[in-house]
Amino acid sequence: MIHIITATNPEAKFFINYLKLKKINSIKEFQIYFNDKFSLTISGIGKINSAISVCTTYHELGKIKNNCWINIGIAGHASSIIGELFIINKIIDSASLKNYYPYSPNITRISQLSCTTYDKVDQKYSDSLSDMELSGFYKTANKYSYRELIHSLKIVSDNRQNSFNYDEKDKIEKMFEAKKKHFDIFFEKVLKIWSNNITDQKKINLKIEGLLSKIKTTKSEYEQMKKLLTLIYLKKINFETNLFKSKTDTKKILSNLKKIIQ
Amino acid sequence: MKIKNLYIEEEILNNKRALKIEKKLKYENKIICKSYKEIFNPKNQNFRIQKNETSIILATKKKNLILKAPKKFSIGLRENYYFSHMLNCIYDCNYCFLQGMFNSAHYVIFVNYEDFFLNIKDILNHKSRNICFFSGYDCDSLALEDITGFMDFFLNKFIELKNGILEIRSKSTNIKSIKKINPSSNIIPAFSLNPEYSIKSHEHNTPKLINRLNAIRELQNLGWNIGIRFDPFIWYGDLCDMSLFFREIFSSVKKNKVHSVTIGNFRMANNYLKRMVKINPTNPYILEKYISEILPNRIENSIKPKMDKIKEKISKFVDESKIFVN
Repeated sequence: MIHIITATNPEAKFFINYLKLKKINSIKEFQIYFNDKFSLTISGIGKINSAISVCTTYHELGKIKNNCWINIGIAGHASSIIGELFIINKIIDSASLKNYYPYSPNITRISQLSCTTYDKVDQKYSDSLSDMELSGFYKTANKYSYRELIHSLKIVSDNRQNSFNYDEKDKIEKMFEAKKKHFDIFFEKVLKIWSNNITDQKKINLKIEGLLSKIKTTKSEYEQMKKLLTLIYLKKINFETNLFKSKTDTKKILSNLKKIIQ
Repeated sequence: MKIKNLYIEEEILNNKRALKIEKKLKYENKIICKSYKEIFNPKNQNFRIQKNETSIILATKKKNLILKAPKKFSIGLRENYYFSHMLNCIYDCNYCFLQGMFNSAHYVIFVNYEDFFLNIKDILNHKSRNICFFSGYDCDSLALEDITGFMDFFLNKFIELKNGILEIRSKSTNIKSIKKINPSSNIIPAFSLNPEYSIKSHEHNTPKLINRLNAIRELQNLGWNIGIRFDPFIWYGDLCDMSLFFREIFSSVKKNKVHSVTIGNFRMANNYLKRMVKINPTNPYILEKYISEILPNRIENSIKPKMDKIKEKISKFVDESKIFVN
């Protein structure tokens, strides 16, 4: 699953419509939308809001580790043209001066750039994009997922020649819409990395959890059985799942599993 | 060489060697960092995902350039050190401890080659007996030589050191840098060998056994004494066939030009193994090794022959004094 975090409604609007996301009305802290592949959370402005929104999304949507996380939003830049889309390959936190380096997929049609996260609105502009959320988002998402699954895309909304007009909300939606194809390519690539590396393991884990939920084990027995079952599934060894009945002695199950892989 | 990104420490942006290496690389983005550790060290990175598309980080090594080798790691000398001008390896061996030790799969190249040499010289200046230095502990010594040029720089200097012995351990057949210099008794090119079926299943992207043997023969013909390394030795076949395997190996090389043979089993610190299972849970080889460590009744598909038995078999071809169990 891909979790998208945007700071404001106008930045989210295109994705809510395009991905046909539905709002979860029971969550009050943030507006969270979802479908079977995507979720989108509107965090509010600032890195603390962004960090809390990641945390809330994770906890509200099943506490699933190693999903994909993408921060998408607008950013300022000294000279880049308005509407240009960038993949972020370096994040600079202006307050702590800490740097983070997302493992971004290379996509020929999307350029890459660094982004500096400021605590206050930056009006100086530099060669690094400027936003107010990304470092908070990235640091928090990294608690729940591998760095290789956490990304950021930014569209230039203002530069030295053209300042940002907060009243032109429709313009923001249109800027995102204009990059629809690029988002599709990016999402596809990110999902491919995720499914090639994470989903097999998740499928096996689901099967194993299904079996182990039928019996009572100690923590150590549970861990041992989980490892043995993983190996059995990986090696595609056929075995009798009838073994896992509520009254079966767990020692007997363990010894049988060991026999199966010997 | 095509890589994903090139990261470079800001203090070596104008370093001549860094620029030379940069010219040999094809990369998508050049990203400047303060220290390689910003990219290499953070936790919760996935080594396996990175291994599919690796980047290179150009950096300088500031501390701990030369380290004491573990006690058992020896080819007969009492004092042993190791060093790595690179972190990580272009090969992808199932059993490689680097996957468990490092958070990142990116290749770090330390461009301050001179400092490695000066540190070695400094250690030797304080000692009277011979001391062995192992290269290729955290990387393969020769695999990226065309990019780094480390051995090109290093061998000419090391050859002058009287009480220093250098082992260049590799699976690579890229022996150009060694061929450039005259054979020397204080430099030991050493090649890791395994049966071809083990290479195919466990040493991904590495040269075939036959090519490694050809490289050994080529160097021996030039007068070099070669180290042969069965470490880890991965044997699945019948134990009786093992003698045949060693016969094949030692009939392919000049036995009188074998400097030493080392043998060792798969061994891995438990915490590394645990981490490898976490990031690569769908690799049956690693999981099997892990299970065999954590379960009282061990399960193993591969035969784990006793080292003394292997030593006995090898001693039919090479003098026992040259065989070391690690």
